[in-house]
Amino acid sequence: MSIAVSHRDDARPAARSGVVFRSAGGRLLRDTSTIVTIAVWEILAHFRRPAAYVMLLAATLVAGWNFSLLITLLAQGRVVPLRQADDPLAQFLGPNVFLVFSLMLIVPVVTMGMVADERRRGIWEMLLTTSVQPWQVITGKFAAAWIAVVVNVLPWICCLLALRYWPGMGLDFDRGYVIGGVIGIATISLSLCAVGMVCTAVCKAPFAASVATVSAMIGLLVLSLAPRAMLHWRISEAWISLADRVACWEHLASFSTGAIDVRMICGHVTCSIFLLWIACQATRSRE
Amino acid sequence: MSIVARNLVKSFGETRAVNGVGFEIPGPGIVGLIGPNGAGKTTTLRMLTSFLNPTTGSVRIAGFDTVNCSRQVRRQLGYLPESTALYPDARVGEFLSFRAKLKNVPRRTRMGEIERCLHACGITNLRHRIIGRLSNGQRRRVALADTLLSDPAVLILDEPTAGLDPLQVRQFRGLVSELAADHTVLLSTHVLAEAEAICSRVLVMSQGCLVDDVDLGGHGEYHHCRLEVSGAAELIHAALLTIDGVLAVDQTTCGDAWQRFELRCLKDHDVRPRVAEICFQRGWPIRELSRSLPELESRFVRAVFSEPRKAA
Repeated sequence: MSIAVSHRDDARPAARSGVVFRSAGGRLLRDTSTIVTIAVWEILAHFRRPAAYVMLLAATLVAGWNFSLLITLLAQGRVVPLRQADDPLAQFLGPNVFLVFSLMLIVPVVTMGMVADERRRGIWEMLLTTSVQPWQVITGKFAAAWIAVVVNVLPWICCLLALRYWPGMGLDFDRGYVIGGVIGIATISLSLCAVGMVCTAVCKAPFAASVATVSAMIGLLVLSLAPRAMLHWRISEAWISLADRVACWEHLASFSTGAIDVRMICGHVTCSIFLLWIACQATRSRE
Repeated sequence: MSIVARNLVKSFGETRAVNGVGFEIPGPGIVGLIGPNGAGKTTTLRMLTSFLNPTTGSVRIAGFDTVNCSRQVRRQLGYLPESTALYPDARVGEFLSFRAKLKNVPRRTRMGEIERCLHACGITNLRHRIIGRLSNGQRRRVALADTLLSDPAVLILDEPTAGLDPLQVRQFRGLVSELAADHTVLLSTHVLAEAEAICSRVLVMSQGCLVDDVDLGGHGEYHHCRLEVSGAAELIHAALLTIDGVLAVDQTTCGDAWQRFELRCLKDHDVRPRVAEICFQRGWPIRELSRSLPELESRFVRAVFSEPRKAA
């Protein structure tokens, strides 16, 4: 393939394109490095606060309580579940009441101060008067929030891993429950954290942001129940299908059975990017 | 030109916080921005730092436009906001390291740069202290050290001495005066004495407008002389106006037999020997004869209470 170039010096176009690529690559590297710097700083800031450990302890206790129920159910012997998603093992990393309500508390607590509090304290101004763009700050903080949420859900994963791999006493169940559950929680957390970021970017005060996030998550929970209700009320399949797509707790149920749907992951990633874009626009309009 | 602001306007809904502000700061030195509360100083500074975009008008910092080249602008400047916004749970060293990373200070020079800023602000001993446990003044110094990171050409300081004790204020003035040798410093303050002490030029803002531009460094076209003398006021006034180089004479009474005259003179004319000679010849006893800087306070009051006008 030949490329027509109008430059007199043949060596220059290649050199120029190289410079362009190097420059673009360098810029990408710098942008990524800034995001990583902000994310690492935010994670460290989160774990510098005693409240982070109190939250982790509370999450561990709730996970332990949930785990004791799982052990009780498993000790009752093999009962044929109505659906695969109703299997106690699938439920453990699925939309069970303990995990759902824990996420509904952890996400607002982690995200509420990310922008609203920093803007109130003047840190936002300080951040944006260095050579950092708002989208880098939002992305870095979002990454930190997501990691903090996943860390707080780790006790559930550790419980299931212990059940599977405890030396001499491990229960030989399908690894898909663990892998699917972990991917499901990580994926759903992406969208939930992005919702939290939008709320903290829109609201003036952290408390208002947390209330807005909880409200949004309650809305998502209600939406998760909608498809079944709509089926009962014989609403058209198109609407049921639409409700299915936004019912993220139902997605978690699907993941926890070990079914990893790449389309669902892509959907949540796309949704998160869109929500982060809204958060960026909200911070700009607030300024 | 280090800072060029042209016809800056910033509106928040119906409110016009800044209305047609324009000025030029050509190079190194300290320029003060003074004005009553709500004059629009902080909004102006925020537009200079590219944190806020002007509704109309433009700002160029070191040749870069704050709207189109905001990233380059931010690389050129260090900004100390009015509120000391720091992370209370972090240690001073960790915080400065984070800020140095954000300011793209290369890894191999980062520690040296942090050390330099800590030393410049006299807080080397605070490196391992938690920020939340520092006093207000110490936090302000940490914020100033952050501003100095990466050695920006332009420093914008919003009420930098707020919360500092007198000794710290003195040290801070010394530090800023040293920096002014090769940095452009624009600082906003409420304290006129501070502006008089360290600024070579002062911009006065009121109701969103720039109402005066005072040269305090004797770099302008004029200088002032003060004379306190006893005698017939009209005769003295007339005699002073005949002196070569005297452009204007303002007279006030001191409340007794003495009269006070403020003479506005051409910069390269030292009229004091001639004034003394005339007074001696006419038999008017002199109590004071000195060269003086324009009184900032009186100019400030005059500017703020006069009808707002655009100075540039």
